[in-house]
Amino acid sequence: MQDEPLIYTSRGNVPIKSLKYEHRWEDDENEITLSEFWFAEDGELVKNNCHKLAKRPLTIGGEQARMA
Amino acid sequence: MANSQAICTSFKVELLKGIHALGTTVARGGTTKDTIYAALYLASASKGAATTDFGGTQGSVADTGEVTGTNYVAGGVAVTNGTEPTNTSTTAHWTPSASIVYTTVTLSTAFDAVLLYNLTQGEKAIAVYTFGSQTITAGTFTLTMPTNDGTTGLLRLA
Repeated sequence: MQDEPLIYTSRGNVPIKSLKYEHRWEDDENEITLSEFWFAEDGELVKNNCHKLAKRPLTIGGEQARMA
Repeated sequence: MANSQAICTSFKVELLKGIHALGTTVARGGTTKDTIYAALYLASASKGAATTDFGGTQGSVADTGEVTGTNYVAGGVAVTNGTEPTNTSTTAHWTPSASIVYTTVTLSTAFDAVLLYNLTQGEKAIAVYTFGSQTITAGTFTLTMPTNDGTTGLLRLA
């Protein structure tokens, strides 16, 4: 007999097959985001992950004054 | 050939490595790189260019406006810094060598910024990065690092 796979949620460890999983990708001018959601049977969000890749690195511009 | 006015690219890289001190500086204890941390801030906080340091105490006291929640430690997480500052063409750049990951956290109040700060040097601020507002329930929040080059590197001196 195999153990039932569990996943950690706000309700503790629950069978993963008891949850509804959704994910979505968002890609806009600032970042790319992968969001993952797990919902309990009553519709409550019990777990979510978010992974972001920023597209706006910070640049410090160097400027020089002329000496003469 | 002709002379050309320029800030030397080597100087830009060396600034990131702490080689030059054009003002009064600190006595460094050695030649090892500093330890960098990343703390998350609520969307209601006001971190930005005027931020001079992490205002709490890493590991024990949260800064004003910093997130709090299950499995989140005040001051955030250590940044993996396995790649030396370098340059691509005339742009010096530095990027953490791994994603910044907050594992199995519950952060119920919306947050939208991360402060990189230097734990070794009195928790002095380095940069604030903003992103789309987010909450996390019993899950993982990952900031994936961009390619470390002169165009997309996380911190660049152009």
